[in-house]
Amino acid sequence: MYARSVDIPNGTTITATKVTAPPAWALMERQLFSLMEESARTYTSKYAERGGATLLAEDLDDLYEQFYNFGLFYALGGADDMLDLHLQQWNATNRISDQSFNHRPIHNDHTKKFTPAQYNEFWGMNHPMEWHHLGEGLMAWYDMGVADPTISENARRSRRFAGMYIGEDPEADLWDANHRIIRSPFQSSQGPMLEGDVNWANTMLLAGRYLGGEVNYYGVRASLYPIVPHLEAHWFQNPQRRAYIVDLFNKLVLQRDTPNTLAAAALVTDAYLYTGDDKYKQWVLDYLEAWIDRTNKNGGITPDNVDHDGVIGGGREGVFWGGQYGWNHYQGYNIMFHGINTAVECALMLTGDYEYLDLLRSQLKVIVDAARIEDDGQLITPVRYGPEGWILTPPVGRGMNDGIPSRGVMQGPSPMRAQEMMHLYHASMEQQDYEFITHIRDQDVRRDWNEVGDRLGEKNSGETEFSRFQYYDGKNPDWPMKILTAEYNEAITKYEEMMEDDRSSYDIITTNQMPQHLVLTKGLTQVTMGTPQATYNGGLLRATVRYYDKDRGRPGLPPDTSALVDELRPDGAGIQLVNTNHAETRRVIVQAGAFGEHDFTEVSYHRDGDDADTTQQVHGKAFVVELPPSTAIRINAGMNRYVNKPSYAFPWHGESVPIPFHE
Amino acid sequence: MTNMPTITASKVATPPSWALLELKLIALMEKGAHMMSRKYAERSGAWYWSDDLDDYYERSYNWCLLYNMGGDESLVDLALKHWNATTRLFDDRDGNRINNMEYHHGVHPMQLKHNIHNEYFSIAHPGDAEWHHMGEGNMAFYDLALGDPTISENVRRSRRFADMFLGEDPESPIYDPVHKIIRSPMHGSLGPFHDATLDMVKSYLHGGHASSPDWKAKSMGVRGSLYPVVKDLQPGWWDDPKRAREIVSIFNQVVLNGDSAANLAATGLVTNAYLYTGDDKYKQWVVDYVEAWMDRIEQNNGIIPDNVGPTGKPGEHRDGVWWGTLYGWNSYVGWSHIFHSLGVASECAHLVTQDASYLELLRSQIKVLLDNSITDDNGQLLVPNRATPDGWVHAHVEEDKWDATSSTNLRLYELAHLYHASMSQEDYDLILRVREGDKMRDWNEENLGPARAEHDSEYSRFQYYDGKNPDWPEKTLALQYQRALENYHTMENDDRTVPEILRDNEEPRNAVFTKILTHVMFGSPQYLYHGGLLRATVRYFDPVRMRPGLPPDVAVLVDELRADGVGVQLVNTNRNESRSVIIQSGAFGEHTFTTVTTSTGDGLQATEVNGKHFTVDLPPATSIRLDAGLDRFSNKPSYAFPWHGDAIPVPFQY
Repeated sequence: MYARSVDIPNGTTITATKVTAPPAWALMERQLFSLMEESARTYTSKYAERGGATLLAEDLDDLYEQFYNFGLFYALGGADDMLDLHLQQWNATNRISDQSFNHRPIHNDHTKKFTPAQYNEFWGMNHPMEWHHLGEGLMAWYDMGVADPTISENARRSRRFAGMYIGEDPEADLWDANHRIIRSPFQSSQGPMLEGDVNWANTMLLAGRYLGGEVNYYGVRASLYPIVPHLEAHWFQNPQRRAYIVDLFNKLVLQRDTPNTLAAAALVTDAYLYTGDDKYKQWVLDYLEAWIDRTNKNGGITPDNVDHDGVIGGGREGVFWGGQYGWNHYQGYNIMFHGINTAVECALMLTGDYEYLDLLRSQLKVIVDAARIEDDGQLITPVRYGPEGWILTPPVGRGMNDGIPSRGVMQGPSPMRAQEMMHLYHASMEQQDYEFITHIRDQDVRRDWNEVGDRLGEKNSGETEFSRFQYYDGKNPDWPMKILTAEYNEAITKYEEMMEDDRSSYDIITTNQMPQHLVLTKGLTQVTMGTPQATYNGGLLRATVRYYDKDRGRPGLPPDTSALVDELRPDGAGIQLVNTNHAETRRVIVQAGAFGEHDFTEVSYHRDGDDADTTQQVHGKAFVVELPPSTAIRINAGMNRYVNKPSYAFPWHGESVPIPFHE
Repeated sequence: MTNMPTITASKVATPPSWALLELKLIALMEKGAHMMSRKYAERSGAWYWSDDLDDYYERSYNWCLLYNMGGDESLVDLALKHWNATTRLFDDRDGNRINNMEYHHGVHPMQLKHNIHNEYFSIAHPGDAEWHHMGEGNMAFYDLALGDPTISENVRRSRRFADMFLGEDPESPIYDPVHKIIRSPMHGSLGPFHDATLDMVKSYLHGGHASSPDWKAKSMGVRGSLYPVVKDLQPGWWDDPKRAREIVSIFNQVVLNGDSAANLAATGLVTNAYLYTGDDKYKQWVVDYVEAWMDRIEQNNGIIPDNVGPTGKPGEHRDGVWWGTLYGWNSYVGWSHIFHSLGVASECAHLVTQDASYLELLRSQIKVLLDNSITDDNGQLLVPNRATPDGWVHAHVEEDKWDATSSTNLRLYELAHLYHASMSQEDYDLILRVREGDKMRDWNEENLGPARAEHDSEYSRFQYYDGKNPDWPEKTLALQYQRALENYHTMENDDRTVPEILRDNEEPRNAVFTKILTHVMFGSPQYLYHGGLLRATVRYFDPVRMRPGLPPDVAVLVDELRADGVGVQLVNTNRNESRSVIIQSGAFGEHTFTTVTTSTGDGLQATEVNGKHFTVDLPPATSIRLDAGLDRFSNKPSYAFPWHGDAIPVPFQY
C-alpha cells in the first residue's frame, strides 16, 4: 500500500484550538516511540541475519516472541519500517522453522538443538503445542492483522489456521463437532497429539527433564489423580508399570479437551476479523458454550478436563481437575484462566452479548469464595485445587521424591491476581465488576495499588493493572507519567545493554543469549488506547479507542502526536490529544474500539474563547481530529459499546477489508 | 583488510559532469525502488500482478547491484523481501495467493502457477523450467549474494540448487554424471521433464500458446523441430488422435529426452554455489560439463550441436542432425538463446579455473557464424540466424514469419563479453571485423536497448575504450537518466487504485537500471542477462560503513581498459568531508592488482599493491586518476567482501 491521505465516510471533524505547552506525558510518549524505533532496528540488524533469520535457537513460540509487538508498535504510531521489520521477522521465522527444507543447520559450537517445527506454517506433528505456548507464539501473528489487514497471504493464512480448528482441514483433524471438543491439549497442523512416550509423560507429570534426572515440581503440568494418587519418581523403571502409566497418561491427559484450549477462540476470531465469515463466529460460540455447559454441569466450577465423549473427568472417576494446565498443575488458574479470559472477550466482541462474560466472572468468584483472610487482614486466594480441595496451605518445599532430588515448588496461594478481573471490568464496565475489584482492594493490605515500580516487563500477569485502575478511579492522578517513565526506564536499560553488546555473531550463536523485548507496548497501549494490555498468552488487542493518521493513510498516531485516555465510563471515554509539532498540522482519525466494535454517539470539547463546550454528533465508528501546530484538545466522547460487527478493516476501508487477492 | 595499501588524492577540482549525473541517477533509482515496492506490492512483498515466476523475480533482480554502486542499504532488505515473497507465493505446498481475479495480460487470462518446489523452479510449469526463463529468474538470486553473502539460508539455497545439477538431490535426478548430460531441456527441483502435453507440443512446434482459444499455427514463435524424424510437419496433425499421440511421443523422445546446449547456463547456478562456498565439487562440475560440450563441438566438426541424446551423442535421436532442440539453432530465435548460454558457461569456466582456453567454447561458435557470413549489396556483413534443412538461413525473411532478431550484423553482445574476458588481440580483431562490415549502424551513437541487457549499449562503449568516442560517459549516463526519470514519473503519476492495478495486470517496469552504471563504474559489459554472473574489472567497498558500494557523494569512472591494467577516476563531490574507498580487482577478487600509478604534482607515483584490494582516501572536493596494473584471472573467486578474509563468515554453517 502506498501512503496517501484518506477520507472516512461521513466523517465528523473536530479542530483543536488551544495552543499550549505540551504536557510531560505527551513528550515522554514521543520519546518512547523514537527510542524503541531505534531499538527495533538495531536489535534486528544485530541479532538476526539480513533477511530476518534470528541468531537464536529456541522453541518456535520463543522465536516469534523476539519481535512479537513490532506490528502493534507500528499500529500505535511507530515508524513505517516497524511493520516491515515485523513482516520480515515473521516470515523468516517461518522459513527457518519449516520442516520440509531446513534453513538452519546446527552450528558447530551450538548447544541448543534447533527443531524446525512447522508444517503448513503452523506447529507441526514433530512439535505439537498447547495453548500456553501457542498463545505466546501467536501474539506476533495477531499483531499483523492489527497493523495491516490487507495482506492477501495473511488473510489466507488466517483461514488456513482457523480451518484446522473448525474441522475444515482433514490433515489437522483437531475438532470433534459432535462432542464439541478439541481432541487433545497438544495440537498441530497434522493432527492432535493422542499418544506420548515415556519421556513426554514424565515431563508433564513430574517435570523431569530426563528420565531418572532431577524432578521439578515447578513445571508439573498434569495429574493422573485419582487413578494414580501419587506418582512415584521411578515409575518408568518397571516395564509393566511404565507401559501402564504411559497408557494412562495418553487417556487421562492427552485424549481429552481442556479449557486451556479455549484460547483457540482468538485464532478463529482472527479469521473472522479478516473475513467476516459467520462460520468462524459460530465456532467460537459453539466451543465456548460447550465449556459453559460443562461448567454448569459441574456445579459452577469449570472442569479442567473432559474425555473424548465430552464427559467431565471421564476415566478419572469424574474428578474435574488434573488436566493439562488445569486447576491442579503447578501454576493453577494462572495459566488456565488465559483461555477462559480470551474466549469470553472474543464472544462478547463477536456478539455484543455480555452474558458470555459470566463464565469468567463465575470462576473469579469461585476463587474468591474459597479465599481466606490472614491475620493482617490480607485476602489470600487459592491458585490450585487438589485431593483436599482448594489449596490454601503453603506449597511443599524441596526435598527428595523416591530418592530423586526435586527442585522448585508449586505455586502457592497468593493475593488475587489483577489480570482477569481487570479484563472483565474493561469488557463489562459494570458496577458489579467494579465492586468485585474494590472488594479485593479493600482486603489487599500488603500491596500499594498506586505503585508502578521502576521498570515494566513486557509479558506479565497484569501487575500494572492495579495502578491503572487507581488512575481511572480517581486515586492515582500521576499514573500516566509514572507508567510511561517506568516503560522508558525498561526500554533504555535494554537499549544500553544491547549497545554495549560487542559480541560477534558467532559468539551470540554459541551462547544463545540475547536481550529480550526491547520494544515495549504495554504502557503505550494502556495510556493511549484506554485498555489493559492484551492477555499475553493469546488474547487479541483490547482498545477503548484506536488512532489512525489521516494524512498518511496508516494506523497509529501521526508523527509528533500524543494521546491519553483520561476517563473511562460505560457510555464514553475522555481523550486528550496533543500535537507537539509547532510547525505542522496533524490529523488523527479516532476509532471506537480495537476493531470498530463500539460506536461514538456525540463528542463534546471546549473551543478556545467559548464559554460553553461544543457538542457534535458522530454516530459512527470514527471521527477526525485536526490538530494545528502546538494545539491540544480534550474530547469527551460518548459511546455505545459492542454494537458493531468487529473487523480488522481500517476506517477508510468500508465494510470489509480490501484484500487484493481474496477468496 | 590488514595492511591494505592506501593512496590519497590531493587534487582539488570541480567535479566533472559524469560524476554528478552518476550520483543523481543512483539517488533517483533508489527512490524509484522504494516507490515501486510500496505502490505495486503488498506490504510483505507480493507484487500486485499475475505472471510467470521468472517475471516476478525480474521485478527486483538488480537492487543489490544498485546497492553495490552506492545505493541505500534498504535496497538489500527490499530485494530479500521480494525474493522471499515470490518464493513463498509460488510454493507448491500451499499457495498463499488465491487465483480469484480475472487477470488479463494481452488476451490471455493469467493464472499464477505454483511451480516452486524446494524453493526452486519445479516442472509444474515446464515452460518456465528451461534456461531462457530460469536464467532470467535466477538473476535475482545471484543478485542477493552481491548484497550480503553471509546469509545462512541463501548459502544453503545456493548449495541445494546447485546440488540438483550435480545429481546429488534424489528428488531431482536431472544430471547423468556418466554421460555428462542434463536429461532434458526442461528440468527443475522435481527432476527432468519428459512428458509434454498435446498443447505444449503444438505450441513448441507451431508457435504461440495452443491453450488459448484463438490460437493458430504460425511459423513465428516455433521453438523446436522434430527434423528429420518428422520432416515436413503440417499443422492439423492434432486432429487425428492417433497421429497426435504419435507426434507427442516423438516430441518427448526427440526433444525432451536429452541435453540441450541452452543448459550450459546452469554453470551460472553452480558457479554461484562455488562463489559462496569455495567447494571444489562445484568448480569440477562446471569444468566437466563445459568440457563435455567442447568435446561435442569437436565431434560435430566445430559447430556446437544444440541437442545430444541420453548417451551424449550429437543428434542421437535425429539421425545425427545437430539442430532442432528447444530454443536451438532452428528455432525462431536462432542462435540467440544458445549463445547466451555459451557466454555464461565460458565466463564461468574461465572464472573458476583462471584458464582462458575455456573461452574457446564461445569464440569457436562466433567464428562459425562469421565463417558462414555473407556480404550484401551495401557491403553489410550478415551472419546466418538459423540452421534449417536447407542449410544456414541468411536472408531477411518476412516479418510475420520469423522473428526479426537476426540476420543483420553479428550483435556486439557475446563478442563484447568475449573480449572483456580475454582482452586479447584476437578478439579485438574479431570486433573490428564486425565493425568494418557494419554499414547500418553508427557505433558512436548512444542506444540503451531493452532495459535488461542485450547489446545496444555496447557499441558506443567499445568506441570509447577504443579512443573514438570521448564523450561517451556523459552521453550514456544522460540517456540512462532520461529513461529512469520517465519510468519514475510514470509511477509517480499512476493514481490507479489497487483493484484497478490488479485488473489491468500492468505495472511499470523495474525502476532500477544498472546497465550503464555497470559499464561506467565497473568497466565491464552488463552481465549476460539470461543467467550470467556479474562482470567487473573493478568493484568498490566502503571501509567506513563496512558495506559494498561507493561511499556517499563519491563517483567513479573506468576510463581505460587494457589486458594488463585499468584506468579509474574517483571524485569526492563532498566539499566538507573526506571519503575512503576500497577498490577490488574483479567482481569476485579474481584479478590481482600489481602496481598502481598516480600522477602527483611532482610526476608519477607508483604504489605496489600485489593483492586484490587497495584503499583510496579522498579529502574534501578531491579527484584522482589511477592507473592500476592488473594480473587478470589470477585468484580463486569468491563472494567474500574484502574484510571477510578467505572465506565468507556464514553464521550457521554446515
